[in-house]
Amino acid sequence: MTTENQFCRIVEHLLAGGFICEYSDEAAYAYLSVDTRRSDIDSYLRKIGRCLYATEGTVAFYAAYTSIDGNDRRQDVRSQFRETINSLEPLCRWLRMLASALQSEATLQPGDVLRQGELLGALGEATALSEDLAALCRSGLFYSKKLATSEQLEVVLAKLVDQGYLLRNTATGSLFTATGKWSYLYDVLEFIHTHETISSDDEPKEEQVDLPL
Amino acid sequence: MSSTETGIRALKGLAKHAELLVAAYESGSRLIPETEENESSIRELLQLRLVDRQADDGAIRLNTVVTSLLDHSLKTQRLKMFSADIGEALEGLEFLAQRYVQSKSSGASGDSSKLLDELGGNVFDLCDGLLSQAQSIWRQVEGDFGAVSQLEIKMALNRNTLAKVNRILQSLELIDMASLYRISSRDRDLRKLLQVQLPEVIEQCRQILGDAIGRLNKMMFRLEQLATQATRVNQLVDHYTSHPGWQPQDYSAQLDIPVLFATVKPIRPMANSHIRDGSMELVFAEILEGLRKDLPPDENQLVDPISTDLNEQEQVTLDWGVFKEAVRQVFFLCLEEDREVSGLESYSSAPDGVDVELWLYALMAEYNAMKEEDRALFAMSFPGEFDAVFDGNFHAEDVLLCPA
Repeated sequence: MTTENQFCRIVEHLLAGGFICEYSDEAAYAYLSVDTRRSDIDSYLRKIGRCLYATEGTVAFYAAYTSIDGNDRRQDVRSQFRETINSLEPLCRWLRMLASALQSEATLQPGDVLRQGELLGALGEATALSEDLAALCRSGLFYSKKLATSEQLEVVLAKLVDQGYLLRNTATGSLFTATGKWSYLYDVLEFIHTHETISSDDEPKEEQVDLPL
Repeated sequence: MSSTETGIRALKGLAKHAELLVAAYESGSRLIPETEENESSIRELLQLRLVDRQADDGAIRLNTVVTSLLDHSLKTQRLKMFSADIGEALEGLEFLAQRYVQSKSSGASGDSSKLLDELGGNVFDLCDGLLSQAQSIWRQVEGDFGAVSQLEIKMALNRNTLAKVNRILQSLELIDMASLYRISSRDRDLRKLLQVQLPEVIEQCRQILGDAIGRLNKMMFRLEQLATQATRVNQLVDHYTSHPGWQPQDYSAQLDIPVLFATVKPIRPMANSHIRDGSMELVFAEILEGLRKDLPPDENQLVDPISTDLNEQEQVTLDWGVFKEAVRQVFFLCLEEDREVSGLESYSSAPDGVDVELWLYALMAEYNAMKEEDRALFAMSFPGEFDAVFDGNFHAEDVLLCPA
C-alpha cells in the first residue's frame, strides 16, 4: 500500500472514532510509530479541529477535538462521554468476571488472546460466574434475551468485537484478540480514580485512634 | 631515632589509635572530632604524620596514606560480605600470583610452572562462575520467571533478583584490579591471565547484569501497572455494587473538558470516486466487468402482467344532490315564470341546515359554472351600495336572478 493510501486510510479510521493499535492494524500502528508521519497525521487533523492522541504507554492512537467551541461540538462530546460512562460498569464487571474465569490476577490486556471454548468451560464449572454473565446480559451494553450461557457469551463477545475491544480471528471464529482500546478504558479508570471518591473494601481502612489527652 | 624505630613507632601508633582511625574512615568525611578525649591522640597522630590539619578550617583529617591502607584492607573484607566466593577466589589468585613471582625470581622453574597452571585454573573457575551466575540471572529474567502466573509472586521474584544483581555488581566494583595489575605487571603469562582474561569476563558480566537491571526495572514497572489496573477495576466494580446508580460527574459539561473525554464523534467519510485517477482504472474495469447481463432475479420473476388496455366503460349518470337540485330549481322557476327571483326570497326552498350566505354563493356559483349558451338566458345582479369609506368594498344585499 502506498504512503498516500496509508495516510488516507488512517485519517479516515481516526475520524470514524477508531483506535489504532498494533493488534488491530499493525501496518497503521507502524506508520504512526514514525515521528514524522505521526506529526503529518496530527497536522492534518488539527486543520479540521482534531488532533492525534495516544493512550498511556502509546498502546493505541485515537483522535480528539482540539477545542470545544461550538454547541454542536459540545453536544457531540457530551454524547460520546455518556456512551463511555454508560459502558463503564458493564465493561468493568466483564473484566472482573473474565479474570476470575481465567484465574488471573491481571485484567485483560491488549494483545491477550481469548478462547471462547476455554471461557465457556470455565463458566460451566462455576455457577457464580455464569450468574454474573447472566446479570451482565440483563441490561445495558450487553443486553440480550438469550438464556443459554453459551449464547450469552457469544452476545458479549460479539458486542465487544462491535465496540472495537476485541478482534475475532477470522480463521477460527472462536479466538479473539484484545485490542489497544482496553488501554483507553484503563486510562479512564485511572482518571476517575484520581478525580472521584471511590470507596472500596480493598483499600486499607485507617482506624480512628483517640488522641491522648 | 633510627628509621627502624620511627617505623615501629608509626605502626604502634596505628595500632594504638586504630579505633579512632577506623571510625573516622567509616564516617566518610575522614574527620576526627576534636574533643577533650581525643586531644592527646590527635597530638600523637599529628606527630606521626598519620593525620593532617586542614589549612582552611583547621579540621583534623586522615591523610591519604592511611586512607589508602584502609581502602585496601576493607575492600577485600567488604567483598567477602557481598560474595564470599568471589572474595576468597580473589585472595587465592593474589596469593598464587605472588608465590609464582617469588618462585620464578628464585629460579625454581618447576614450582613456578605448577603455580602458573594452578593460577590459570583458578582464573578460569572464577570467570566461569561469574559468567554462569550472570547468565543464569539473565535466563530467569528473559523467561519471565518461568511458569509463575501470580502477580504478587512475580513481583517478589523480581525484587529478589534485582537485589541479587545489585549485590554481584557491587562485588565486581570492589575487585581491586589495581592490585592485580601491580602483581602481574612484570610477567607476560600473569598479564595474560590477570590483565586480559579476568577483566574481559568482569566487563562481560557487568554488561549482562546491567542489561538485566534494565529489563527487571521495566518488568517491575509493567507488573505494578497490571496490579494497579486490576485494583482499579475491582474498586470500581465494588463501588458500583455498593452505590447502585452511581455515575462519575459530568466532565463533558466542564468548561475545560479533559482530553480523555474529548474523543471525536465518528464521521462516516463519504466521497465520490475520483474518475480521473489513473490508479482507479483497474477498479473501474472490474466494476464494469462485473455488471450483470441478466435481469436481476426480482425483475425476472414470472408474474401475470397487468393489462393496460382500456375497456369499454359504461356511462354513468351522476345524480344531483338535494342542494344542487334546489339551486337549479330557482333557475327553472325564473324561466318558467319569466320573472325576477330574489335569492333571499328563494332561500325558503333551500334544504334544511344550509346557511343563507352559502345559499346565495351557491346561486352565484351555479350561474358562473353553467354553459355559455345557458348563461345567456339569465342575468344576475347584486343590489347594494359601496362602502362609504372603503369604496373598494361593495355591500350586496341580495342576489337577483332575472330572465335575459
